[in-house]
Amino acid sequence: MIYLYVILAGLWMALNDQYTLGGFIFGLGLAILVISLLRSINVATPPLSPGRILKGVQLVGYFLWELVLANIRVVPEVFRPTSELRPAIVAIPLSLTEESQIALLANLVSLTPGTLSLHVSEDRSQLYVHVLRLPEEGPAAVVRDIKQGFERRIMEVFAA
Amino acid sequence: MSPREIVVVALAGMGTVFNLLSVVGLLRMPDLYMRMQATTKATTLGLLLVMAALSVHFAQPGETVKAVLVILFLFLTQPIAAHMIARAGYRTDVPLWAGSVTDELAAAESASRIEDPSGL
Repeated sequence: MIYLYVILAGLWMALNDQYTLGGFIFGLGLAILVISLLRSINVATPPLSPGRILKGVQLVGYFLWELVLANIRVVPEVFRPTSELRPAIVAIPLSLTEESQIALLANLVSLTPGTLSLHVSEDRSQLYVHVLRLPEEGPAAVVRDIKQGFERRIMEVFAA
Repeated sequence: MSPREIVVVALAGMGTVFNLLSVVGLLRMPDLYMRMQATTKATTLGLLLVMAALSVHFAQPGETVKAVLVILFLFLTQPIAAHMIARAGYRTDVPLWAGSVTDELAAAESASRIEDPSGL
């Protein structure tokens, strides 16, 4: 837990370009304040292990790659005649159960162009996603892409 | 131009193009949800490229750390904002464009309304 305070203090110094003892102490004070305010939010964090860090790096790499690909794929949509657009809202059945992991999946889906998280069902079993262009194969293709892409990789990061 | 300047211009240029495309999308898309897609998405890669151009231009550790932090904060806040705006739109019955292919959320919601007559 200590390293979180040090990281936040380090971020504070980086933002202010003040790599001094005073800057570090002030950053540490802010970190203690912020963490005490957020203490009530409980996020399940499994202990770090080399394998988990590797999977995390792979997830970030996959996300950045998808971000570039999806941006390029969305370009033609902007110039397509309105009558050729195929937007839809698709239900993705979730295999993830942890709330923080579902939130991570929803955010990654939202960040990737062409898909936008709209809603999570009350029982946390479905993620509803607005897609800019429904593939010809129908909603199943969207479900497959998200489950085998982001969801599988998130599971691998948090797997015990 | 030095090689570094070429890299800076290329990164900043590509970033600007993606941001420009998102504005074109904002003007052209027919409903709230598609406009949210256009404005919030292309700008993430656009800003990432502009910030990369900045850190190459200044080529100093402090500036690079700041650029990375800007990207990180955007990636933390942007999807939540987009999700909340789109969800609020859906909750307040902002209509989907008539050409939308399917709405599986509406199907699920009307099914649950039939099971639960209280309407919650």
